[in-house]
Amino acid sequence: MSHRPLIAVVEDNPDNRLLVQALLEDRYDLIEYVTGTEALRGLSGQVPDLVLLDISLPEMDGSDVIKEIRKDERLRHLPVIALTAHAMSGDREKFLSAGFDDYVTKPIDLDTLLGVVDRFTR
Amino acid sequence: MDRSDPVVDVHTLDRLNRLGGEGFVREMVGIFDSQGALRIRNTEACLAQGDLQAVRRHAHSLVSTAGNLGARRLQRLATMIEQAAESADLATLQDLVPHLSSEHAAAAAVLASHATEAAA
Repeated sequence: MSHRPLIAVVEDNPDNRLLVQALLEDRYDLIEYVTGTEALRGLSGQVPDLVLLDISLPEMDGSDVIKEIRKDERLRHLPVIALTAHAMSGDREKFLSAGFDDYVTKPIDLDTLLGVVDRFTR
Repeated sequence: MDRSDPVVDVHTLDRLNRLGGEGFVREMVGIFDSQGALRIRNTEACLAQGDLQAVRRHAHSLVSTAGNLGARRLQRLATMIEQAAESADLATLQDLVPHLSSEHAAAAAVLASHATEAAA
């Protein structure tokens, strides 16, 4: 049986979660978290192959979540992709400096997301 | 307000239909209808209370919800509201926020009509 990569989706908007699910569920196993706190708790128990992390989360935003992820020795090399509505040309360096491996802008472009996910789960 | 954007970009809907089928599109439209209306009510209430951070947050969510379904006019309006809230531009907010309901309703009508045509 071939291994299906596990992707953690951290996103509070139900329509974004539904969209990501529809795009990825044929080839990936998904686990969803609605808040950063919930995600960190989940990641302490089960480490996925990739995390899609919304920046604009309620309570603890994505920028704080990534800091906590990178503090954890077990998660230091876990690929984490930012999902963000605020990105302009040149922002990639900003996200890399913050600890992300890449970013995808919202509203989500399906081809872009699929390309990024494929690249980091090969 | 710029009205050159389409109310709904049907190419986005067609793409979603190819991705997940009619049931999936219906579910996305259902979220647009209910969550969209809720976020608009919250935006209006938060503006009335002067809570601009909350206005920004609700508008930000609305940008995605509208954009996912190709509701371009609502998406642009929500983006302008988010930016105005971020810069505490009360005059612009008071000008733009009252248009959210009608733009949402216009998009909802197009989405419903598209669903009816697809089912026929």
